Amino acid sequence: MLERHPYASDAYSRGLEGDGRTRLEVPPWRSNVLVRCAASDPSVRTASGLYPYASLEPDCDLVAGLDFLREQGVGSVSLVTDALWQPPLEALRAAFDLCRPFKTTYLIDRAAGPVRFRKKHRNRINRSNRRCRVRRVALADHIESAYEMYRGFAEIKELSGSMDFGPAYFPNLAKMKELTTIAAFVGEALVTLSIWIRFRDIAYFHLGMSNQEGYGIAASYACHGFAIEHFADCRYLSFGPEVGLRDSKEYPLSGFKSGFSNATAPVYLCGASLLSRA
Amino acid sequence: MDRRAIESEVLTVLRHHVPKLRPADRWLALELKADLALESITLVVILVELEERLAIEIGEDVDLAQLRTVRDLLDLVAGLIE
Repeated sequence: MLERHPYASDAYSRGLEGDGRTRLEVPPWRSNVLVRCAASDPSVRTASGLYPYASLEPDCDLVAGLDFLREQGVGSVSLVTDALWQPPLEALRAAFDLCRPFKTTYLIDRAAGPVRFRKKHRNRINRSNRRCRVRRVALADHIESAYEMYRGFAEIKELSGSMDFGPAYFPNLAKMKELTTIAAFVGEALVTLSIWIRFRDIAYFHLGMSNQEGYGIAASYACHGFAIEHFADCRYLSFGPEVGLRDSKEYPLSGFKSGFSNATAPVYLCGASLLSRA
Repeated sequence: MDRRAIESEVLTVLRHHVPKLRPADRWLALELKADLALESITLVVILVELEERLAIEIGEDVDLAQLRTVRDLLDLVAGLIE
């Protein structure tokens, strides 16, 4: 049995079901998509890749996957690729009607040279470390806090659609063996959670959430500093792209992510209309 | 380009994703999420396709949550052309 990327696994995709979305396995991609049916007409079906990426096997049969979706009555599919786990760009361009750079993901690539943070980031990590204690925890022990902090983050960022995680999301995530959860505490109080998913030599920053106190002391800097040491044996740490529709220098997150990174890579937006392919 | 022509372009692109879509009296009132089963990422693909077809640029600050109906989408595109 081939090892599957965690973002392509059945276990992960189950947590994203609900609110009209159901998981559909796409065997030629060895991955899953989420399918939504129109409320008024169940025969109208569209598919989308999972959050945060559609991590497609580099050697998967893209066209066969699209054919499979068409045979399932899916009208179109849209997804965002994983810069570190995807088929070659030429194959994506050949298979999808639309394939174009979408956003920039920020990385540490240890092969690209030593890891050096921006001075501002070093200062913030040091300052934050003086104000909180960081350690690994089991997400299962902090489900309620995670959901509560995520709701706050989702409201600030006005997240909707498949990123608007329901109550089942975190308990499901907590069961994943590839998960590492890093937490910051002030005294005994949890103030920040930093959730990572590991696949081979890649560690993905999956989600980060804080309460007001965590934001106030920038505890996410301390958590990232901890993670970068914790995943010292990973070649790549993927911090992900911006939240939102496009890259933007104006959003504060890009400064946060880029300040830790020594490399970038584009993620691609891919879309295909399927029923016209018959 | 007048509003009817823009409407036709929007319909063409939407039909890439929802082939059964037909312009009917209430089609502008159709909800993108509930009636057409479109996820946010599919809406982004639709916006990109409209950018390419109509040679427009949709800014990074578009709030997808505000695009509730086909009419909202049409208004957004028409606003960029006019």
